[in-house]
Amino acid sequence: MRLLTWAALVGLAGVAVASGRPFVAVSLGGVKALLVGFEFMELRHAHRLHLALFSAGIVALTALLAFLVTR
Amino acid sequence: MKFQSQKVAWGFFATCMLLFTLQIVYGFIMAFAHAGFDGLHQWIPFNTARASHTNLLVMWMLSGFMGAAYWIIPDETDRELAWPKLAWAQLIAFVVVGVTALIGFHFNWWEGRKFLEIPRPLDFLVVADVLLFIANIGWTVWKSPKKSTTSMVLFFGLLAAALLYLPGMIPTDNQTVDSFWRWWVVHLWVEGVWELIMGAILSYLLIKLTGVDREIIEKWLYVIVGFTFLSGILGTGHHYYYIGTPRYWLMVGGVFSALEPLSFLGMAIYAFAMAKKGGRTHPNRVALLWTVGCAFMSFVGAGFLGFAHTIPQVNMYTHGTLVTAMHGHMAFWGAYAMLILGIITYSMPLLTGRKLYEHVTAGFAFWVSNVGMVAMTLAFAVAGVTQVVLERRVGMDFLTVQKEISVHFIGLILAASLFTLGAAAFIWNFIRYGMPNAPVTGVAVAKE
Amino acid sequence: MTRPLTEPPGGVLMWLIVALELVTFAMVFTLIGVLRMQQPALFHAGQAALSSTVGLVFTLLLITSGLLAAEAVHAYRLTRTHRAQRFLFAAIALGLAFVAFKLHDTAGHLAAGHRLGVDDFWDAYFLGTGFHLAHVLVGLVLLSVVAFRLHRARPPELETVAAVALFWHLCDLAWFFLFPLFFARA
Ligand code: HEM
Ligand code: HEM
Ligand SMILES: [Fe+2]
Repeated sequence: MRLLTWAALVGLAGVAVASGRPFVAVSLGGVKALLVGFEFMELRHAHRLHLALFSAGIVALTALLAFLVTR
Repeated sequence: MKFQSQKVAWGFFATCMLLFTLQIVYGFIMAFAHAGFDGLHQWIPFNTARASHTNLLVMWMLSGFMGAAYWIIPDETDRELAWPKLAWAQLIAFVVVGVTALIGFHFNWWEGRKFLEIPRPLDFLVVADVLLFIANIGWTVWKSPKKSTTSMVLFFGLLAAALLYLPGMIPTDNQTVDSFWRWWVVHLWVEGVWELIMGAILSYLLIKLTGVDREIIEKWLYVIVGFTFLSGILGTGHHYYYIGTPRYWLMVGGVFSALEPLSFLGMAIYAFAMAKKGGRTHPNRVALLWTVGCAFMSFVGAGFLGFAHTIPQVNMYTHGTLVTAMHGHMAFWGAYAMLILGIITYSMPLLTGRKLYEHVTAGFAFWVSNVGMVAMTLAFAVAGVTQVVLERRVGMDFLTVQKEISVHFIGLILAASLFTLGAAAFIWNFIRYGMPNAPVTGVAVAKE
Repeated sequence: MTRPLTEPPGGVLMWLIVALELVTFAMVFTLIGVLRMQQPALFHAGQAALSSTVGLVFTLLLITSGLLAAEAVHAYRLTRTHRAQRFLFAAIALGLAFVAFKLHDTAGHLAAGHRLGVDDFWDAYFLGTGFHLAHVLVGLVLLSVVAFRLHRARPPELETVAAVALFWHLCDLAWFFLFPLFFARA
């Protein structure tokens, strides 16, 4: 799982650079942050509330930044 | 009291009461001047009154911190102070320097730098005096096998406060450079190292008054204080807006100072939680009231009202107006004045052996002074916002605006009278406590 | 296995720190986003001087180092101390590579006349990535302290190792947003 996560992170980073579009790159940044949170930070095993709070925070931040870079 | 040498704390606390009284007198002189009644102008012009008001404030804060340290350190380290006589000598020297400075202000002997008006020669004496104090408590801590977190944080906070006085003495003839260093003292004191001192005194009081385990209180309170301290360091940037310093301070100051209120909020919540958890077993309830009140009011005054003008786009308009005075009053009152009044309330019964905390005047002092201070803050806020609008949005002349807002100072005088009633009750109680003659209960550690 | 509310993986204290750091970084990112929105031309010009390949190298160094730190925690949980230590050292090595590459890259920028105080773009760039770099340095110190202690008579607890790794992952998270804000361009 950890290795797979790492591979996904590498892949997403590659896609972000290849696309070169800020909106895509920010959104993929959010996805990467969630992946790191779930797997590397082990939130997958944490209390559901912790998982939810973290995800909500990352999603909100990603949405805000995605909005800002498309203006 | 546990140790004979703790008595010296009383001397410092009595000095606090004296300086506090004088500070209020100068406050009224200014408030009347603002309201249009400047009869004393010939003898005490506004600048003199202002320098006296704020320097008396700083002096009594320092005196309170030193008294608190002389009270807490023997208790925490379980031994007499290293040099009790030096402590008394150092108190007398402190008062002499303070009085000299105060008299000097009335003869135009001052430096004209807000909060650091004390003339240069006296600066050196202040530093020397505070270093003697640091040596005294430092040696006491060093000699004791018991080194609690609280005594260490208190010691390092006081040491850092003494050292941070030095940047204010760096000579320069450039206004911007001078401001730059001045804030190292003023800001890094109140939003930096003084908060370590505050954390130590608060945790001492909470440990004593709530009965909650020392481990719990020390760990989490120091975590919170650590956050305040760290955000406060880069938060210095909120004084470097538009004063000739590089533009990037707008970003640094804006971000980090906006974080500071979070930790003040944390402190308030934490103090409430501990007070609740500990129950109401300690008889000195008023002391707990001051302690928890301090955590709460510092959130309102420093955290909330500080945040209100810390974003660059807002500060551009409010800088140096009565909005600053609004924040300055509530922040200093909540964070540091209430803290010192709290430790005084806690220690006086132990110093004198009398239990006046049950007396009505004790609770009266707390509530009336706080309601008075909230009212004063409101008065300053109304005056300040009006000033900002008229002067900086409408573009009216400074003095014209001062005339427009002078009516608000009638409100301030009324509010300040209420505050003074509470303060007077506190001071009256202090006097009734009398001299520190309680029997010494601790086992004095023999001097090596 | 699901953990109780009072025991997040890595401990309450480190999560408190991480949460506050995330709030701080979120403010920094928002500020950068707003500046970018207000001064698109300036950002465009500034970004032209940044290479997305360089950005990608930074990302790869960080996520690989993050993987190694996560592996170290896992190995330590299985009490395979040697393996855990090797993973930690590898994570530290990649972290150091990040720092070295970052310094090299910064030297290039300075030589090209990009520095603090030039304009809002470079202020944001140096302050934003500098703040991130400061976290990387702190993370490296924490990782090293733990790595060297794994074989002591009183080795650190699992939670301490997890807490340090958690802080290290925070550096990744922050980078994931700095990267698109500065290095991604049309
Ligand atoms: C215990 C804590 C604090 C105390 C005692 C305090 C006190 C003061 C005082 C006396 C001043 C006026 C200084 C001068 O002009 O020379 C001041 C200014 C200021 N304070 Fe605080 N403060 C505290 C905390 C905070 C916090 C936490 C914030 C922000 C969140 C803050 C924001 C500001 C700002 C922005 C100014 C500048 C106002 C101007 O431009 O005129 N303060 N403070
Ligand atoms: C009760 C009576 C008080 C009155 C009538 C009063 C009034 C004033 C006035 C009129 C000013 C000058 C504002 C200006 O620059 O125009 C001032 C400044 C100040 N006072 Fe008071 N004050 C009182 C008590 C206090 C107390 C108890 C504290 C602190 C705990 C305090 C802290 C300050 C500070 C920090 C400033 C400087 C504010 C700034 O930097 O703008 N004052 N006061
Ligand atoms: Fe400040």
